Order: sequence, then structure tokens, then C-alpha cells
Amino acid sequence: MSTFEPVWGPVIAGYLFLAGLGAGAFLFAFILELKFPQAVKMRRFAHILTPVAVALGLVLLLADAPGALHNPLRILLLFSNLQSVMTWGVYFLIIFFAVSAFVMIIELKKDYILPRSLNIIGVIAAFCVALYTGVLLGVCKTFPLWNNALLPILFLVSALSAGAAALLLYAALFAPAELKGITGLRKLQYLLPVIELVLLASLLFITFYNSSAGAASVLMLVTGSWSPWFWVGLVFCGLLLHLIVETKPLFFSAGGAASHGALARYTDVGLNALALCGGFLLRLLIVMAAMPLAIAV
Amino acid sequence: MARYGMLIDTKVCIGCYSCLLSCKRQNGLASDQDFIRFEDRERGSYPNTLRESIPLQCMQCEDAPCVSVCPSGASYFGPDGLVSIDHGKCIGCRYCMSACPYQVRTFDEEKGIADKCRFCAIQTLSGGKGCSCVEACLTNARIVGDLDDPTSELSRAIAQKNALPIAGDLTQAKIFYVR
Ligand code: SF4
Ligand code: SF4
Repeated sequence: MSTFEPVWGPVIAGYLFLAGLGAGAFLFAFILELKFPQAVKMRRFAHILTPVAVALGLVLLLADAPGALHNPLRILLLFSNLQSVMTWGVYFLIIFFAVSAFVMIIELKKDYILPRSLNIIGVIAAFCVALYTGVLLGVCKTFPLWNNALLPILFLVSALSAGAAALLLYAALFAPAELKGITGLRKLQYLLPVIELVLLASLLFITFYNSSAGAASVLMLVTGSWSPWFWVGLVFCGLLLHLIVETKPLFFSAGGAASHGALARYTDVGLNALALCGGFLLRLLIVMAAMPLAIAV
Repeated sequence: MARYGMLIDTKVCIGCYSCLLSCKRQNGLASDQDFIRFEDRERGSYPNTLRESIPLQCMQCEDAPCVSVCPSGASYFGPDGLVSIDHGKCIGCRYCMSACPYQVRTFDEEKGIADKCRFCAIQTLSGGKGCSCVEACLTNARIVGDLDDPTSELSRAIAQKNALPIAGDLTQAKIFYVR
């Protein structure tokens, strides 16, 4: 057991992360459009980021499939087995990429008018893509850490988190003026790591009691070789830090996120960059720490 | 149509790895690629303990996760329901390797594709000679045959020795173990 080598590695984790990031950015662009129409630059950035992230994700998927790299024609076969979750995922990603690329073109034109129907299709595709990244792993009975229904939801919430972080990072760097009117959005963003922590804790508890392989996976994360990354990288920098820093300005200061000074801006840059890293780290840890069921018991 | 399966008697298996080595030779595998892997362990509690060697290889699942997850259709049910890999279709995504609960698929680094036991041992049933695991086994721990033929040596041995798939009905495996 201890000699088990993970089947996948950082490249697939990157693919899962970028697909989620694209989905999250698109969903937040939708929220911006509905509730914060004045944040034009952020929305524009989200609409440009989405197809780029999705395309990069697909490139990573292929980069990790040497059989297809050596024989590019085999890429066409990716569409063939409708029983395969990976096949659905490729369909979702292609549809999502097409829609979001179209939206990007509209965004880049002078007069921006995005048909509501197109936006809705994009939103549905974004949900499918984000959930798919969890289902892809979830159907593998081999690994108790993956083989459960919490994982797709955790990945969905983490995708939203990554999307929000990317937008706020951009705004803090390049459009600080837009940060003023979006306290509501920040409160929404604040909720995400809370939900993620609850889901992550549930996932780990349930997996721990699932089987010896489940317990081994959880221990690898919380006390084993991945534990520094898990506690410092994911739990502290990726999730908790956001709550520690943002609770007071968002909920307990008179003006509600009142300070817009240089310090607040740097805090935003740091926090959101860390949240993005945390999103990638979540995928990486889940991919790397999964231990296989013991077959001959 | 035959429904091929195998019996592996771990009570007589001495863990000598002859099957593993003969398989490597038969299939011309690279040094880091094995179609058979062993789980060696101790069972029971003192003083009634025994050391068990369990050779694992593709179980020829009837409900094969590798086939359902393979996006390209490279993993498929071939003639006689044998799970095979079409090397010309495999994109090397390794989804099958994650989905196979028995962890018996390997990766051919050179070609960039997945591979596994090809169940070549059935050649012995038609009088063919090779160096398959069944032929190489020193203690005759392995029997290959047709599960649908109740008179086959395999079917009789399974009934007599009460052999079972290694992980219950997890995937409707067609390799039966005596433990
Ligand atoms: S044992 Fe693994 S490789 Fe063989 S058929 Fe079953 S799932 Fe596929
Ligand atoms: S590695 Fe090859 S055989 Fe395995 S799932 Fe991918 S395409 Fe199918």
C-alpha cells in the first residue's frame, strides 16, 4: 500500500483547477451583470478570463495524454464513449468554451449587449463544468477519498471561490475604483471559504471512517507527507486567512469595507492570490492523497 | 461463445513470481511494467497465522469500470467478453488506471498508452504453447477455462474448492480465488 504511486499528478490537478476557475469566473460575471452593473472592468475581465482558462485546461488534459500527443488524430476519439464521464466533460468544456468565447467577442466589441439566453446557456454550462471536475474523480470506486457525492459540490464551491478571487485580484490591481460599490459581492465571496471548510471537514470525516484506504488518505493529508501543504497552504492561507482578515471590515466596521487605502488594496491582492493558490492546492491534494482500496482483505 | 475465467489457488501459491516473470517474457514487457502484481500479507492471529501471497492481474470484470470510463473506446469488450485494449486508440489519459479497483493496469511509458493482462493463457485451451502464467506456475495454482462449461476443469475446481472473486461482487470479476 505504501508503495502506491498516484495515477495522476499536478497536470491533471491544473486541468481541474482551470476548468473550475473558468466556470467560477463566468458565474461571477453573471452576478456582476445582474447586481453590480457598474463594475464593467471586472465583468469584462471575467469574460475574457473564462475562455482562456478553459482552453488552457483542455491543453493540460491533452498534455497529460501522451497517446493523443503522439497521434493527434486520436483526440477525435475523445468524443466517442458516451458512458465515460471524461467524454461528457469534454463535451461540456467544448460547449462552455464556445459560448464563453462568443461572449468574449461580444465583450470586446464597442457596444456590449449580451443576449440573456446566451448568458443562461453559459451559466448552465459553467455549473456542468464545475461539477464535472468532481464527478470525474468521483466515479472511481478505487479511491474512497474521491468516490463520494461531496466532492463535486466541494469542487463547485471552490470553483466559485477561485472565480471570485481572480476577479477581485484583478480589480485590486487594475480597477481599484470598482472595489467601492461591491461590498455585497465581497460578502458573497466571504461565504465560500466557510462552506468549503464545512464540506472539506465533512469529506475528511466521512472518508476517514469509510475504510482503511479512506483513513490512510485522510491521515496522509492531516498528519502525513502532505500535511504542511494541507494545513498551511490550503486550510490557513487558502481558506481561514480570508475569514480572519475580512470578518471585521465586512461585518463589524461602520461603513462596511470602508477603507480603500493602499493597505486595503495590498491586502486584497495578497488574500485573493492566496485564495487562487488554495484552489489549485485543493485539487492537487485530493488528486495526490487518494489511496486505493485494499482489494485482498 | 465461451466465458473465459481463471482460478488462482493462493493456498498452493508459494509466491515465487514465476508467473510474473513468464508474463513479462511472453508479452515483451519493459522492466518496470508488470501485468501481475502481488499482495503479500499475514493472516489470522497468533498462533494460527499464515503467510499469504496473492497474485493480482486483470480480473476480466463483466461490469468493467475501465471500459465504462475510457473516453476513447480503447478499452472494450472483445470476442468472448474479454476486456481488451486497442493500442491504436488509447490516448494515454490513464482514466482506466484510476477506475480499475484492482490497480492492475500499467502504463507503457514508451508508447504513452495503458496496458494490462491480455489473458493470453487461453491459448493453452486450444493446445497452444507459450510461456503464460498458467504454464509457468510451479505448483499448478492456476487453472484457465470456460466458466459456462460446467464440465471444464475450471468450473469443477471452482465448485470443489469454493473459489470466489477476490472482492466479492464488486465488478463481477471472472478470476476466482481460493484463500
Ligand atoms: S480488473 Fe481492472 S483492468 Fe481488468 S477488467 Fe476489471 S477494471 Fe478493467
Ligand atoms: S488510458 Fe487509454 S485505455 Fe485507459 S481510459 Fe485513457 S484512452 Fe482508455
